[in-house]
Amino acid sequence: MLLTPRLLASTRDLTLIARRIADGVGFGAHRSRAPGPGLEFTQYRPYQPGDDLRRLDWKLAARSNRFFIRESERESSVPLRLLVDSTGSMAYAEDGVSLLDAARMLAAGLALIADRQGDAIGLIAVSDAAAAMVPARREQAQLARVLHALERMQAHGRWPAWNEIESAAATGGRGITVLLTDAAEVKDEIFAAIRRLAALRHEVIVVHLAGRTLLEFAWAGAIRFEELESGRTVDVDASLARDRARAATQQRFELFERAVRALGADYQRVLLDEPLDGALRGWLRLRTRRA
Amino acid sequence: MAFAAPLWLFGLLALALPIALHLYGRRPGRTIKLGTLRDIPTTPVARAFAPRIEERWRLLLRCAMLACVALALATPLFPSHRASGAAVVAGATIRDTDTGRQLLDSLQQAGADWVELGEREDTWSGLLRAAQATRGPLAVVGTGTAGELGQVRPSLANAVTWHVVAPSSAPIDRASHRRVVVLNGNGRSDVTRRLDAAIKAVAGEAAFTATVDWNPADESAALAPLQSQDLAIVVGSKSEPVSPARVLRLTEQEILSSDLPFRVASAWLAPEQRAGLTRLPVPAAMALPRHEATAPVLRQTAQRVSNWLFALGALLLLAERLLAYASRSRSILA
Repeated sequence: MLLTPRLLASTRDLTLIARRIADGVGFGAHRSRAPGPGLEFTQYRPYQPGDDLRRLDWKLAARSNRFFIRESERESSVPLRLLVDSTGSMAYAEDGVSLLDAARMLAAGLALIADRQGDAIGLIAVSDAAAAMVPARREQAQLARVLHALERMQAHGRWPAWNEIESAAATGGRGITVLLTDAAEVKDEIFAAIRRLAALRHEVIVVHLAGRTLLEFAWAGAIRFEELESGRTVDVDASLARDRARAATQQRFELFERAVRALGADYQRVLLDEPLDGALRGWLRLRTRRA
Repeated sequence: MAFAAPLWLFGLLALALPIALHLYGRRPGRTIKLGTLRDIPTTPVARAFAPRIEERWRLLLRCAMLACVALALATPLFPSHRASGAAVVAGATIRDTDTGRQLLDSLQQAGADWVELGEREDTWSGLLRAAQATRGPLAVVGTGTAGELGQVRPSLANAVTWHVVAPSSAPIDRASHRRVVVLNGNGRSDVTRRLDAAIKAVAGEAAFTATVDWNPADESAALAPLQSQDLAIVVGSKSEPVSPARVLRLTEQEILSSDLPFRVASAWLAPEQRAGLTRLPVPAAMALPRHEATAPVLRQTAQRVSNWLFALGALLLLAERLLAYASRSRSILA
């Protein structure tokens, strides 16, 4: 089954969506810098009722007839920050699924993967209104908190000034920062933010969400286009404008990708009709190989 | 302006169709909300919506075409020669009396032409001659004698007023009330109304309209008490009542026709008592309905105008198609 945003949007349960995506990607495909419990042995601890029997050291028990629990601890926590562009332009929708919906699902899937690996997760909604922010932490309820914040996220407002993002993004030390955006800039404010994040020595991953109809400019006839954030409208004969609009969009996307890669950041383009787990899997594999 | 087939003017309602289509089609197809308008080229924008202006012209052409066809079908009646000319039809003997001369002079000063009747020509043929010359109102000046009217009445689109001039200038004896008795077996209100109006117009205050008990089977008995100077008007009777008074028999058609005052006048006015009655305008209610009929000449003119209108409509259609083709090929080139 292809986990396209359209299919996933049929349920509103973000936890379920996150699980489907994370399962689709496959646990362990991404070799974490901060391995989860059980990978790196640190010490034994006497068994106490209620402990998970899977973590019991059976060989030791056979040898000494005493029950010990293998304990391990991550050597370090690499916090995963999810920067979700929730400006007005993310409300752009195709087939009833908006870019923000897709970003929400991807973020939920990434959050679950990170949570399973025991990484700290943080969430920043980038918009001009007070950012719904969940600081990066390693806690039991952190995933639920992130998913809840994701569920409540709405597309409105414009891209904020850098200092508003910085205060949220800089706390909690360096880590992996995933920016989910549609790269709909007025000037180059989104790219500027990516450059600053890279300058903070974050490992930046840019997930560029786009609609296929937009990329192909697959509209026809007289159409009034309205800019979501400014409300400006333009009346266009889409059939006549197609070639030029398509070329302009693709060139803009390519320039954006090249600029992002030039900063040493990762770039992944996700189209709205592609299966999300596939997109994520291929990209995580690539990262693993490179690592 | 009059129309030979005014019902076709309802065809003008068809104008609503292209207008409605234009208004409906003007709405932009749909609105799509985008993240940014940066990629949308600005040049085709103007061109994409430029046909709207051309469409406005095409709408005008379409409407004009429909209006042309509707008007052509309605066949407008235009005056063939002079638009507002008026003519007076009168015999030469009218000028013999003072009142007749004064009346004709005043009418001619008002701009009316004088169509003089020939020696043996009746009023109807004079009217027809005048109607061929002008579409304006016609005035008939006569003595009100029965011989002036011919047998075949033409149908005219002109408005006709009637003037009765007494041939002699003997004073009228207003004191002796003469009676007009109307025996109306019909009872239709419009017939009665026109008849009353005609009697009023002809006899005025000098008439004394009487009502008598009347047995339709024996009209002579009802008319017996009348005296020789009285007038009996019998409507729709087939019999010939015997009466000391003069009897005017009228059919319904004759009452509804425009020369009713003339007939009443010729029956009413005894030669010795015609003096003093100079102008007897026809009441407005008795004016000829305009669309009743047209003279052949007028119909020919109207047909020519209609044909021109059809041709104009075809030209407009051609222009509209050309404009449509031009705008389409321009958008293809773009």
